[in-house]
Amino acid sequence: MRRLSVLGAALLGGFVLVAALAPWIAPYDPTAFVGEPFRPPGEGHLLGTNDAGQDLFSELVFASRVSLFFGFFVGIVGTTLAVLVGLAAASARGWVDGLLMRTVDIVLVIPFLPLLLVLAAFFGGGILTQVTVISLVIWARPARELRAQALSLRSREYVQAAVAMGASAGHVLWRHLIPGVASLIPPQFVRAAKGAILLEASLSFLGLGDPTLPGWGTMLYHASARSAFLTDAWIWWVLPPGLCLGALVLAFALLGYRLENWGRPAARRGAAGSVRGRAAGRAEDGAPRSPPLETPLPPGAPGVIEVSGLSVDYGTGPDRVQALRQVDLDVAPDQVVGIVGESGGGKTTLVQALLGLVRPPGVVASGSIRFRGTELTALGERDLRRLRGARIALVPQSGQNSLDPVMRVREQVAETMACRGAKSWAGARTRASELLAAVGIDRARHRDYPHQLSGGMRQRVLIAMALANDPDVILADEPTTGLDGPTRGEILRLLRGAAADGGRSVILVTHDLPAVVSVADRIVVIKEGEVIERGPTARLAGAPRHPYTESLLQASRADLPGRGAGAETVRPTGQTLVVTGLGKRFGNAASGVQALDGVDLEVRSGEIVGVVGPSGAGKSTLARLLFGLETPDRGTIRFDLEGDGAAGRGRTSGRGRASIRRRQLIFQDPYAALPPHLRVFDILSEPLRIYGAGGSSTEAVADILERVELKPAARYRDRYPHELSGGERQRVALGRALIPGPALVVADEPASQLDAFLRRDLVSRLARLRDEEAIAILYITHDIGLAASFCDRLVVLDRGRVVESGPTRALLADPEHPTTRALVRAWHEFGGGRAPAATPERRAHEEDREG
Amino acid sequence: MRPRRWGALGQYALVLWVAVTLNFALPRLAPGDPLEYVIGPEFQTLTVEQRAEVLDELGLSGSLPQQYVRYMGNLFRGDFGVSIRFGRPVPEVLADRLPWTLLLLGPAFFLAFGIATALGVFAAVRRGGRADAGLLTGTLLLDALPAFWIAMVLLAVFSVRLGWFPSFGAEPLLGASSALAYGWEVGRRLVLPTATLVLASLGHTFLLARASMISSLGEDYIAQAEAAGLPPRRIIYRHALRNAVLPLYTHFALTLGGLVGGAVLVETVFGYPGVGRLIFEALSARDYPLLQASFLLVTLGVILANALADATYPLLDPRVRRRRQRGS
Repeated sequence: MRRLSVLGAALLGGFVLVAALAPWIAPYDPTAFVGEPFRPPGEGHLLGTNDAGQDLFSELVFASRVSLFFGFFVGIVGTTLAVLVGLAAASARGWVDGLLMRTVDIVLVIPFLPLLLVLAAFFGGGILTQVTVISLVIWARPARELRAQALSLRSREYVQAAVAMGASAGHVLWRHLIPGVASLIPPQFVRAAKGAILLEASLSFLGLGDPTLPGWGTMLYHASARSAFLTDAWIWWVLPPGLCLGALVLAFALLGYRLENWGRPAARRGAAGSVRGRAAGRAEDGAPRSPPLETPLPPGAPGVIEVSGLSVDYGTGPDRVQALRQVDLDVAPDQVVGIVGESGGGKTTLVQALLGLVRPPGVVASGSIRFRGTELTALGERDLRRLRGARIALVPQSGQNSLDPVMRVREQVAETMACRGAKSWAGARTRASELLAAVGIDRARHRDYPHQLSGGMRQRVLIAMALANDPDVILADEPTTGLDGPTRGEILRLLRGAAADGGRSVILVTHDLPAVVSVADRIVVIKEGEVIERGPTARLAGAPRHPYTESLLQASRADLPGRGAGAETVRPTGQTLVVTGLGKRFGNAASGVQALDGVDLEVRSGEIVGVVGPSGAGKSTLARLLFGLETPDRGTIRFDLEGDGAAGRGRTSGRGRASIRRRQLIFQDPYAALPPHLRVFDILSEPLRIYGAGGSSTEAVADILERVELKPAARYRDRYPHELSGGERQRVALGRALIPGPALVVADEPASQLDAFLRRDLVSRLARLRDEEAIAILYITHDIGLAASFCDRLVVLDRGRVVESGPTRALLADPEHPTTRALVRAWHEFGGGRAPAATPERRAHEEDREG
Repeated sequence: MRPRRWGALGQYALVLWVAVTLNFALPRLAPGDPLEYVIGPEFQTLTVEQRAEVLDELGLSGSLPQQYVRYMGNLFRGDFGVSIRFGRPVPEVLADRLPWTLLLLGPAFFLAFGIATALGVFAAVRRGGRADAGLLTGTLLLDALPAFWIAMVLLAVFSVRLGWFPSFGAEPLLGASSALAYGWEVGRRLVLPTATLVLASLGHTFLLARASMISSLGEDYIAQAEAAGLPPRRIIYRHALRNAVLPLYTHFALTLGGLVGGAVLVETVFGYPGVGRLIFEALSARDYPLLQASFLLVTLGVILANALADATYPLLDPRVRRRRQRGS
């Protein structure tokens, strides 16, 4: 593709050169009659002459000016219009947006060439009409695309963070939206230029061109009108202008293709970000490495899966990344093996290798994978396919996207049986229904489409799919990501049940150590593609040998600093935030969702209040309402943030500037919370810019970097977010919230689960802020165990209502509401990082549940 | 779902209203005498009384709101005026031409869509390979060539040079001996214009089909289907293509406007007696009533096709279907 874009640039350059030098290149005046009609090409006339004796080559050379003018001029006019309309619509929203988009829709539906003809008929042909009318039809599509891009930027967390800080529409537009869409403008321009050239040629071909300035379209119009076909002249008269038009448009198209792929910020930054971010993360925690500890299988037990010395590389040469290095793994029948490690540590690659699904640029560099004695790395695709889904089945990560959205779930389960000829379709459907019922999906939902099911139900469907062909091994790759506590517990219970069911092995791959500890018989810890520790669960959880395992265990254990860790802690004092009767509904009365329904809440300075609840409880809506990202339907939000005697300002909505800067929102997902196009310095000084604070932002930034322990400050201030590890990003996000000196910090949890390390780090920093600076903190999470570890009070939210609240200890000791109980039970069973119960007991427990 | 459906209908009504109002406004806004736009160059020969009479008759007298009301009334009664060039009521002229355009556009549309999708799937599955690169370059080139030029070249080669196909019109000039012979002649005359339209819209549709196929091949559910050991055919057609069709289907609308534009050019080159060529003839003859009515007709056609695509889209995509009522 790179070579093609060079070709495009060369073509375009050539045309520009020819157009600029036309008077010197063309041998004749294109309008002069310089020879007899229909002279064939030859000396003096490179392409011969037309029916009137004009030199065709000269005409061709001069005509390039017309197309280039239209391409560049109309392209620029149209794109400018599109940028203005698109950004105006996206940042104004409301009726302005509605009006502009209606207009765009109308322009897009009306057939443009007939419209151009009608307009041209009334206003006469000629260049001015052409420029005007082509510009009029060409802006609409890019305007719509730019608006869509700008709107999607607006909904990103880093832009939301700026809005929550009280940034003006102008600030958001200038600092975030324009840089965000800038990369889209060149490809849009190229596309507009392409369209303008073709439209001009078409109009001119219909006789609407400027007679004094004939372009290639006009040349063809003459050729067609004067029946050039009837003579041999058409080869010289018709072919060259058409080919020139094609070549010029192609030049633009090739450039545009390149620009589009180059300018896609997500593709570029995303990829670089994840790889580099993770590499940095590895360097950061630099724990000493120790050789793998071997805990061999009990003698005589044949492994279902035997992996030895497995290495998988991505890419070759100097860019090669070793995803797995010399990994050994044995899985006995009837066993649950947990594979634990941080994200990006090679876990998913291992799963792919076990399925024979390592695809280029990935390659199995060395080692062997045996399944019941068969060497998988030696098998062909056809044989592997016979194993996949039948003998080795996968329960994938992110259940919401792993089901085909346009197929009923029962069909998808049936398909895995019917397609391998194991059953007839009718038989497969019956069996699918049984399986779905067995994983706990009500018969009435079997004919639903995936979008009609909740995340937990979709994950159950995937488990039913995995069980369909009665496999020997089930690979579960992060199966609980993004699920709330009780749902996560249900899924783990199902997987454990699957292993208890007739000699089947389950390999559970996850970063969720407590889940593994509560379910697995043996645990393998992977870090940076290597196995660093392995052993029976009880031993590994009780006496980890590798420091990394130990830190993992610690991070997930609920022993964070509670209140009163230090001597000079500040006692909770005045109310900082009081919310009463808060309500918010999305959508209309019939089909909408009551996200919040009469929520009362109070946070005092120097305390942390945890808001917990299952998915869909309205937790994030609460955060958004507090920061004006949504407007409440009813209820009041009262801030009292002055804290220095000036209390009483910022009542009800707290709109005052001073009030706004004293409350800050942190998005907990460090990967989405920072603008990718700004350096750390600019990110941290953004609040100062928004609040128009005086003083030196250089100093303030240096101070804050120091405070969040990004030292030395000079090393960090000029970096981009993708050059930082997750932990570093999170600290930048925290620094951004702290720099204006807030009295209240609200931390909103992202939908997906965070690394245990990242959470622990943030949580202990928040606890320190509470203790040392008396900052009021509202911590929003679905993990009641985490909240229990450091929050002073808990508020349990379910379906928009506060169902229970109170001091943490008292509330957990005696939860009353069923939602709270479910959360607490799931936490105790799967969440606490405690040593696992022995396998037989677990089975008994399982049978209890079913009986 | 219901409110959205009504919203879409309102949107189409709005587009139609804008087109109609544009037609009303243009003769009154354009430079020169509005009479010229309605009855042609002869308006200069009229006496003052005749002029007043004609103005009155044509709804050009009175205040603008009065004119507007009268204009809309005429439209509703199907009165689009008399064609200057043909001397017949405009709807009659249009009715003669419309079937030919439908005969041309219908097959061209489905052929272009089918071929482009097939090639798109083929290229997407072999993404990055030699065949893909070849197809990509070829279609980019095809997309860059103007439709009318393709028409001219096809005409010059296959009709003038090789004499395989007639070069002009849609039916034999002298009539045909039998219905079968007539059909054969009509079919022969359809080949080149259809081929042009297909070639001209192929590039764009192919690129779109390829892109949407590539994006659906990259979805998680495809990875899951692979891990579940489904046969490649089933994965490609039943899952990837089935989902890739959705964006293609919604793209119908935009392609259609372009295709109608292509018809104007292609019918003009081949002398094909459809609405497209009629627009060109009206334009050359300064036959404003005919031009305006043709414009309205094609706009209405595009709107109808859009509405049809909108209304049938839920059949393809369960996610936008109306929620089933559930008692739980």
